[in-house]
Formats: sequence, structure tokens, C-alpha cells
Amino acid sequence: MADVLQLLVAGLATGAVYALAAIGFTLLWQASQTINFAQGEFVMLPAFFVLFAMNALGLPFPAAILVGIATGVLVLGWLFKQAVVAPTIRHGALPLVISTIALGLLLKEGVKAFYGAEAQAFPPLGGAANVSIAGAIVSLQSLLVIAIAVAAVAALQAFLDHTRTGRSIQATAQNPGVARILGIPVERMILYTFLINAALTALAAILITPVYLANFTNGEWLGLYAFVAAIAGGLNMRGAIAGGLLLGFMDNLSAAYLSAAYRSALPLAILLAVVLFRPQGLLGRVEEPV
Amino acid sequence: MSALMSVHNLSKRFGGIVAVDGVSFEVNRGEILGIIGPNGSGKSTLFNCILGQLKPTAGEVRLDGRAVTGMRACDLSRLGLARTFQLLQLFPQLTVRDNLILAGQEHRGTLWSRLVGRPDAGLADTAAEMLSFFRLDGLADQTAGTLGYGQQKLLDAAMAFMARPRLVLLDEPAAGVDPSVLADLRERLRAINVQAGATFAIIEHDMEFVMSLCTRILVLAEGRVIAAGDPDTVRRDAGVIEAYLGR
Amino acid sequence: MSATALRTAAAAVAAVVLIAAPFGLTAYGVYVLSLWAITTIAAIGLNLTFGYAGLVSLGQGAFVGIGAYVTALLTTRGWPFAAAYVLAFAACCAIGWGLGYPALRVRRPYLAFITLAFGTFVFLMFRNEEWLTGGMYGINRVPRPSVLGLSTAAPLGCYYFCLLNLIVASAAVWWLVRSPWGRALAALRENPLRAAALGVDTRRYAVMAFALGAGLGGVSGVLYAALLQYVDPTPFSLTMSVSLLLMVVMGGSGCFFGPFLGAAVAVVLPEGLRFAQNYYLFAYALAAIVLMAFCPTGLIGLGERLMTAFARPRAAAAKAPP
Repeated sequence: MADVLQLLVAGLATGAVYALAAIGFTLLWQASQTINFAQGEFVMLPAFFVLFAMNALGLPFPAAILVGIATGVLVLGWLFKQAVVAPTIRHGALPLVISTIALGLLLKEGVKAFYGAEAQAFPPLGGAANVSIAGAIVSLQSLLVIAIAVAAVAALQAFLDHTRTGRSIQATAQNPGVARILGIPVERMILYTFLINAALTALAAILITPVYLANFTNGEWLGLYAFVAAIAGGLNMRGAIAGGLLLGFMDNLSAAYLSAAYRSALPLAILLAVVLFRPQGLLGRVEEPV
Repeated sequence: MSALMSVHNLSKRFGGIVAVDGVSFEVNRGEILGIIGPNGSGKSTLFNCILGQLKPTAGEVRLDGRAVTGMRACDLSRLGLARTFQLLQLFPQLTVRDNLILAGQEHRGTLWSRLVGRPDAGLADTAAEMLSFFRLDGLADQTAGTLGYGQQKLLDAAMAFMARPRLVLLDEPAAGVDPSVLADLRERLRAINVQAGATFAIIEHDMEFVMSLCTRILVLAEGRVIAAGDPDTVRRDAGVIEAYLGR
Repeated sequence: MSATALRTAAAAVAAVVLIAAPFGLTAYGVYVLSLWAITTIAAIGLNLTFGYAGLVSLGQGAFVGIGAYVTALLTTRGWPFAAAYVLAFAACCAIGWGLGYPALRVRRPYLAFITLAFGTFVFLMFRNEEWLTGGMYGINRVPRPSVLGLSTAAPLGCYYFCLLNLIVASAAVWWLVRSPWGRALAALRENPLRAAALGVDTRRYAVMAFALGAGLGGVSGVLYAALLQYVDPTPFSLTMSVSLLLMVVMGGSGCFFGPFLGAAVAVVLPEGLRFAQNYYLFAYALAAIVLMAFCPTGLIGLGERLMTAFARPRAAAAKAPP
């Protein structure tokens, strides 16, 4: 029982982080047809912004977090949209796909060349404290991660549902053409989704990096897990949450009970299962092929 | 006259919306059937259901007596059912000749022969004939994207005939075409109907074009067939006038 | 017609240069040139998948790896090289088919994700399954083959063997893209909806293009194992798959000579820029992003654009693409 509870908390914690990245990925895909293959690097990089703010600028950890998130939103949100997506999407979807793939490599190699190839420690939010719940020892960090991720998703959902801007963003994501006819400033809404995505990935970075250390290669698997969560969920927000949590559980389960080889096959196995048995994803709708 | 294609009770629902509601009709060998109706009456959805782009919710399509409901678009094409689309659908970066050869190459030989055989799949002559038939001579080596709109529309139609189909479904062939090209197109379609005995079904908004070309007309409104008959009968039908002008 | 003649002449000149080149080079130079030939084969395969059929694969590096490991495993156990060659090609085609068929049933971008997951999985297999692959230490003493009684043990022989493979692979792909298959693949890339309505079995062609591209990746891996004479997991990471994809677009995707140029930029150029080694991939990725924003047709497209601009400055300015 204690084991199960521990696994549950650990699974929820990692799953919540995958869900954050998957939600951002889904928003971008829907609102602007941008398939962001650099999404994993978007979760890898903000951790280095925070480390840079602490080590080079000498800021305390909480201030560094704010600087990291702000820089992330600016660079991975605004700059990404204006400097990479806007000039490339004119040529079609494929050049943009290639461009985001190249961007992933650029960010990875950039961190390696300019910051270092060594994995760096990253301070956890809740220190190293543990909490005992019903006889199970779970880390305070995990509980904090879950709480923050839930709060972030709830805030995002409230924003999307209860503000005018939020509803305009949703309309843009559902059908940009109709949104434009309704007089919604579609371009601005698309820019907002880029900013939201960057904020979500920066948050994900701060939540997950303490567990896995800050390493330039983190984006490879973080990206893969975000994609799998988004696709398994069915490319919508609720699906991304469900997909992220499911993946978090399965990842922790397979780490505990299966060999490393099977664990590394998990993303591939899930993707193949989805395309074979439920192409529209867990919470997706069946689409007509036109 | 025997039916080349028969559509029986075909329906298509999107969620709660019924786009096509139990449509039945036949296309007879050698005729030019016009399908008209106000915007949103389900014409294009009907075509897409017949042609494998959409899965019909209910109903049946038979081609020469054979049930072909819900087959894939490429298999229907190889059974001799050709189509054009409402919006231009060419391969803009390929040459005009390649566009035409492509329209015929999958209908002959095997997958293997298409790899080891002649690069033009033996269709260069047919393509040249089709070009001069549609008065596009001398354009074979241009890329399709560089042609004028009217010429692209003619090429689009020419491609539908490359594989000598048994039945061609044309979705708004006249849309956006200027009058001089339109006269050309109408006259070419009629010629191909008379000379080769080709059968068409045409969705069209341009009444003049439909009335002067088609031998029989089917009127759709709100997903149902509300009238059918020769152009004159349809022109005088009270229900048709009501559907177009509103109640 | 004259464009074709020009291209044939250029190919002939290039072939002569490539045959004569080793005589002016050190053993290391010959090694780099061999590596270029091998990389080009993998890029040609990916050009078939991406450039001609418009499918994004992030797993080409994994297929190169499978080709290399199959060769290393079999030849070090006494199998003949030719058998390893054929098996590696067939295995990669079959795996490509097995991944492509379900992925392309749904949505075309899904192939990118499935190949990404596959590539990650294969890399971890190479690294973790020590009983088979030797883990991080890899497999040593891979023998080089004898071809028609000629040994390829020396660098020069090995280079000519790689070059021969490159020529055969290019000729085969050249044949394919000018056959009706090539036309069907172009149709698939440009307008899959109309292609299907014209009778083109788009899924079948897409899966075949991907499987053949994967097979050529396997061939590249076979030669890689023979050239280096050892294999370890490190090179077959996601970075290799991404670099190969960038080579294709950098040279000019859908352009026959694109992969040759792209591979040269990726393999030969860094040798001349030793001082910039640490920043090379960074600069390479940056260049790709800039190219995608301003000239998605790659360096060959850029060259063509410049040539027309110089030939007819006024006319070109008047109808320059937006």
C-alpha cells in the first residue's frame, strides 16, 4: 500500500510536468499549426536561464526563477514567434517543421557550447524534506510540483474560459478562419498562445529539473514525452492532461517493475498502440479525412 | 437506358447536422447530369461521400451494379470514376505534361511496371492529344502553377479524362472562369460527351452553363432531392423557385 | 533538354573528380571522403522520404545504426559480408514498412513522432543490451570485405568500395525518381487529396518511399561499420537523424544533388574549420533555420536564384518569388 502511494505521488508529479509541456504543444498546434519539435528544448533551456541568473548575476533563487520565466517567455515565446515562425510559415508547414527541428538542435548545441556539457545541480523548491502520508514517505518536492502544476492548469483554464481574451484564444485554436470573420485579432491571439506555451514550459523546467539535473540533452526525452502525451491525449487540453498523467504513471511503474530496456520502449509502444487502436487519441474526436 | 451509377438513400450526418438526407438518384450511360441547389444544400458533401473522401452515414452507391460504398478514393478512381474539385487542385510544381501523365499512370500496368517501365508510362501521346483537345497546345513543358487561371481550370478538367473514365463528376467547373474560356470549356465537354460517349455529373452554380449543357437536372435543397427532370421542367418547378428565392 | 545534358555532364565530371581525388589526399583525407560518400547514401535515402514524398523522418540515424550493428554482429561471428549487407538492407526496409504503415494510416506528421520514439528506443537498445551489442564499448574488429577478389582493407580500397556504393545507390534513386514512381511521390508531396482522386494509392507510395529510404540508411550503416571497423552507440543518437534531415534541406530537398551538397557541408567542411569544432553544429542549425525562413529550397535553390538574378537582374527583380 505504501509502495503504491509512493508510486502514485511520483507518477502524478512527473505526469503533471509532462502535461504542462503537452498542453503548450497542443495549444500551439491548434492555434497556429506550429508543430514545435523543439518543445523538449523549451523545457530544458529555462533551467539554464535560472542557473545563469543565480551563478553569473548572483541573484537569489526566487528572483532567479522569476528572471528565468520572464526570459523564457521573451525568448521562447515572443522571439520564437517573430524570428522563426512568422517568416517561415509563409513557405508552408514543412519548412516550419524543419525549422523547429533545427531550433531544437540549436538550443541543445548552444547550451553545450556556451554553458557546458556537464549536468548541473538545480535547487528543489521544497528542499530535500520528506513527508509521511499514511505510512508512505513522499518527498515534499513531489507534492509541491503537483500543487503548482494543478494551480497553473487551473489558472490557465480559468483564463481561457472566463476572460474575453481567453475565449478569443479558444476560438482561434478551434477555427482560425471563423475567428477572423468574428473580428477576433487572430494574429495577436496566436502570439498569446506562444507566450502561454513558453510560460508553461518554463514552469515545467523549474519543476522537473531538480529531479533530473540541468543537462543540455534533457530536451530529447522531455520533448518525446510531451509529444506522446499530447498525441495519446488526442490533441486537446484535457487530453494533454490525461496523457501526461498516464505517461507519468506508466513511466514510474515501468521504472519500478520492469527492466530499463522495456522502459525505453514505452513512448514507442504507446504511440504505436494509439495509431493502431485509437488514432483520435484518448479524449479526441474522430476527424473526417477532409 | 441503363444506370451507370445508382445512389440509393445516401445520408451524411456531422454531429447533429444532416448534410445529406436520404438522397437517391441514377446517372445513365451517356448523359450529362446537372446537380444544382442553393449554397449548403449538400452538393459537395454528396460528391465527397460518393467518392470516398467522406464516409457516408447510411445508404449505398453502385457503379455498374457493383456496390462501391465507402471505398477509398484511389480505388474508385481505378474503377473508372473520375472527379474534379471545387477549388483548383493541380500539382503546381510539376509540368503540365506530368500533371496529365500522373492522371493516367496509375490506371495501367502494375506497381512493378511503373518502376521499371518507361518514364512517361506510355502516356506522352495521350497527354499530347488531351492538350490539343483542350486547346492547351504548346504548354506541355510549363509548370502548371505558371498557367493562367482559365488554363489551369481547363487542365484540371483535362486531367479528369486522362484515364478514359466511365463517369466523371465535375464540382463547379465554371466557377471563376471568364466567359470566353467558359464557352470553350462547355463546348469541349459537349464534344467529349458526343465523341467518346463519356458520362458526366456536374455540380454547378452557373445556371446558364448548366441549362445549356446538361440533359437532365437534379435539384438539392437542405440535403434532399426536391426536383429532377429536363432543364425546362426544372426551370418551371415551383419548389425549385421557392428553394432558391426563399419562402 | 539542355538542362538534362548539363546535369549529366556535371555528374560525369563529379564522378571523375571523385575517382581521382584520393591521389591528392592523405590517408585521413581519404577517410573523410569515404565518410562523405557513406553519409550521402543515408541522405539520399532520406531525400526520397522527405524531399520527394514530403514525409518527415527523425529516425534515419537509427536505421544507419541498425545497418552498422547488423554488419558488426554478423561479420564478427563469421558471416560473409554480402549476407550482412543484404540482411541489413532488408531489415531496415521491413522495419520502415512496419513503422510507416500504421503511422501513415492516421496523419502524416505522426510518422515524425513515431520515428523519433523509434530512434530513441534503438539508441537505448544499443547502449543497454550489453549481451548483444557490447554496450558503450561497442563491437570491435569488424572485418572489411573483399569485393570481386579485391581487398578493401586499405583506405583507398575502402574508399572506392564506398564510392561504388554511392554511384549504384544514386543511379537506382535517379531511375526511381524519373520513373512514374517519382511522379507519384511528387504528387503525394504536392497534393495528396488530388493524387488519391487520380488513382494514386498515396499510403502505399508513402510507405514504400519511407521503407526504401530506411533501407538506404541501412546500407549507409553497413559501409560505416566497414570503414570504421568498430561500432558503438554514440554516433547513432537523435543528433545524427536531425543532422541527416538538415543535410537534405540544406542541400535542397527534392533536388537530386541536394544530399551530395548537404553531406559535403556537414562532413567535409568542418574538417577545414577545425577551430570552430565546438560551434559547428550550432552554426549549422542556425543556417538551416535562416534558410527555411528565406529560401526553403536550400543551397541549390539559393544558387539558382542567384544565377537568375545575375543573368537577368531586371527581369528577376520583377518576378522574384515573394
